[in-house]
Amino acid sequence: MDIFEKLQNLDKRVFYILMALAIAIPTINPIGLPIDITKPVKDTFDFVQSLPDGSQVLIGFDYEPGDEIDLSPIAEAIFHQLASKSIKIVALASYPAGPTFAEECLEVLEEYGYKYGEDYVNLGHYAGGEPTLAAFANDPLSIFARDWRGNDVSSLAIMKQVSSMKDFSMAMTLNDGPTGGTGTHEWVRQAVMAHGTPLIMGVTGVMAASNQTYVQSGQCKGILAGLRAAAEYEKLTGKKGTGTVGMDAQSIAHILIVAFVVLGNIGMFVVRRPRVQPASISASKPGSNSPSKPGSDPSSKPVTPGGEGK
Amino acid sequence: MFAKKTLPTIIAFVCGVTVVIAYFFNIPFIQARAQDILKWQSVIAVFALGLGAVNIIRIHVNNVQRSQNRNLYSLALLLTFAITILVGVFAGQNSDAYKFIFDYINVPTGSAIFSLLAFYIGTAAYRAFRAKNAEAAILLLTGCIVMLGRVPLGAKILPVSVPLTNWIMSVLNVGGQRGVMIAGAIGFIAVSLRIIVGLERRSYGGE
Amino acid sequence: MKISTEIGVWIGALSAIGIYSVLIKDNPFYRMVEHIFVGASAGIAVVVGLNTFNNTAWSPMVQGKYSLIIPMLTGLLLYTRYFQKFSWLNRIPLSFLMGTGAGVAMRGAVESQIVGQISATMVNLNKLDSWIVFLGTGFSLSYFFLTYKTGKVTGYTSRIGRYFMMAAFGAAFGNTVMGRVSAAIGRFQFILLKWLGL
Repeated sequence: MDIFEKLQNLDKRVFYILMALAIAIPTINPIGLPIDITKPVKDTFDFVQSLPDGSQVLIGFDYEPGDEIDLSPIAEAIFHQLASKSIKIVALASYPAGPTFAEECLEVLEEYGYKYGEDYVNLGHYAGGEPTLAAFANDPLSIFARDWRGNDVSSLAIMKQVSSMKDFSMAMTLNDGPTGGTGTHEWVRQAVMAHGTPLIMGVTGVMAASNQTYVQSGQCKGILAGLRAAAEYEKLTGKKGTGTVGMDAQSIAHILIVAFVVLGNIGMFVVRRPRVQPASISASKPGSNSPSKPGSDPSSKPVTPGGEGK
Repeated sequence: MFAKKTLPTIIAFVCGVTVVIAYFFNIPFIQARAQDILKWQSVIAVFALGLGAVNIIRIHVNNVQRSQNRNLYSLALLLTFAITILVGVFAGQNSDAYKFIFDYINVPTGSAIFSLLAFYIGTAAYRAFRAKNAEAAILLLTGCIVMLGRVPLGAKILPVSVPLTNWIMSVLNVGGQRGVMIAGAIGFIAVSLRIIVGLERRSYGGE
Repeated sequence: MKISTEIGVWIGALSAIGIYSVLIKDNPFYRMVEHIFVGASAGIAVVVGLNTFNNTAWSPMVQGKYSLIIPMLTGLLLYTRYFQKFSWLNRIPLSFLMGTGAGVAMRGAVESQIVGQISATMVNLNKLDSWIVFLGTGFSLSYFFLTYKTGKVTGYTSRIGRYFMMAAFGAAFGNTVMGRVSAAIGRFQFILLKWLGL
C-alpha cells in the first residue's frame, strides 16, 4: 500500500524525465513501426486525387511556429501530390509567420519543375482575418497588390486565371486556431458556404475533434490531423518525410501517458479502498448514533466539486 | 457626444448590416459597397498589428528605465526586437539573415514553449486524470483509446483501438461536438447582433 | 556522434534547452530565452505588418486608389489610445472592425454552424451510428437550455448530453496529447539529430 501512496506523491520531475526518455530513445534508435492508413487520410487523398489536373488550389498557412512540426509536413506531403497532378498552387497566410512557412514548404515544388508566378505563388500575409478572407474570396486582387516576393500580383500568369474563390478547384487551410488569424470555422463560412469551393483541412491534433463535425456534414471534404496524418500521407504519396520519422517516438510517448493514467487510477483506488471501512459506512448512515470524530473519518470529508455522485 | 458615442454605433451598424445584406441579396450596389467595407477593414486591421508591438515596447522601455539599464531581460527583448526589424526592413524578409532569426530563434523557441505542455500533460495524466465519476470515466476512457488508436504501437498492443478510435471520432465525438457547436453559434450570433445594433458598445471601447 | 558546426543550429538547440530548463525550475536562462523569443516574434510581426501594409494599402494607393487614404487615416486613429485626451477616437476604427467582423461572421455562421449541422444530423437515419449522432446532438444541445429550470426529463437528457460531450472532450484530449507530443518530437529531433548528430 505504501508504494502506491508514495507513487501518488512522486516528484513531477520524475515524469518529465520519463517523458523525455520516451521521446529521445526512439528518436535516436527508430523502431520503424509500420504505419497503417486510416480512413480520414485515405478519403482526403482520394479527394485530392479526384481534382482536375492543371487546376488551381488555394492553400492558407494559418499557423504559428509552435505548430510547425504538425502542419508543415502535411503541407509538403500535399504539395507532392498536387505537383504530380500539375495542379497550380496559390498560398496565402493569416499569421505573420505563415508566409515564411509557405516559402519553405513550396520549395518541394522545385523538383517538379514548377515556376514561380506561373505554377505557384506565395501571396503573403493578410491582416483582418475572416472579413479580409471574404474580400479575397470575392476579388483576390483587391487584397494583394504585391506578393511576398514583391511582384505585381496582377502581372503573374497564375493570378490571371483566378478572379474569385470559385476559380479554385479546392481550398485548404493548414490551421492551428483562430487566435490572431483565420480559423477553420471562418474558412468553412467563406470558402464553402459563400462560394461552394470544396475545402480540406490540415489541423493540429487539438483541433481534430471539433472539426470532425464538418467532415461528417460534408462541409469539409477531408481532414488531416497532426504529424500522424502527415506520416500516413507521406506513405500514400511515397515521399518519406518528417512525419514518418516521428511516429516511433509518438508511439512510445502515448503508451507512457496511457500508463500514467492507468497507474494513477489504480493508485487512487488502492489508496482509497481501506478508508471505506464497514464501521465508517455505518457511522455515516442517516439516523446512526455511532460517534465519529470529524476529520478522522474520510467519509465525513466534504465532497469536492466533480467528486463522487456529482 | 455624437462623435464619442453615436458615431461608432452608426459605423458598426452600417458596416455590419451592409455586409449581411450583400450576402443574402443580389443587389450589385450593396455588394460593391460591402466589398469596399471589407477592403477598408483589411487596411485598418494592418494598423492593429502594430498595437501589440507598441505595448511591448512601452512596458520594456519602462522596465529598463526604472532599473537604470540593469534589467537585462528587457534589454535583450528590445535589442532582439530592433535587430529583427532592421534585418526585415533593410535585408528583406526573404534574406538569409531574416530566415536565420525565423528558423533558429523564433521557430525552435516557439515550438519548445508549445511542447512544454506534453510534459505537463504527462504529470497531469498521472495526478489529475482520475475516474472519480461517470463523466470523468467516459472522458478518461475515450481519451486513452484515442491515444492508443492514433499510434502504430498502440494499434499493436490493442488492435481494437484503431476501429474504436475511428468510431469515437466520427460518431460519439460528432454527437457531442455538434451540440457544443450549434449552442456556441447561437450565442455567437446573438453577440454579433448586439454589436451591430449597438447594444455591445464596450466591445469597441464605448460605455 | 557528430556535433553540428552551424551557429544557427547551436542557437536553436540552446534556445529549446533554455525553454525546457523551466521544467526543473524557473531560472535566468529560461527567462532570457523567453524574452528573446518575444522580441523576435514582435519584430517579425512588425516586419510582416509593414510588408502587408505595403501590399494591401500603400502600393494600390500609389497606383491610383486614393480612396484608401481614408482607411489608412482611420487605422492610425487606433494609436490615439496612447493619448488620454484623444483616446476616444480609437472607437472609430474599432467600431469599423467590430461591426464588419460581426456581420461577416454572423451571416455565414447561420448557414455553416446551425443549418448545415442540423441538416447533416438528420440524414441516413436508417443507420445506428446516424441515430447516435442525432441523439447525441439533441441531448448535448439540451444541456445548453439555460432559459428555463431543468425538469425531470430535461434533467435526464442533459445528463446524457453531458456524457456525449465528455466522450467528445476525451477524444479532443487524446488528440491534444498527440499534437503536443509532436511538438516535443520536433524539438528533440532538432536537438538530438541535427545538433548533436546522434
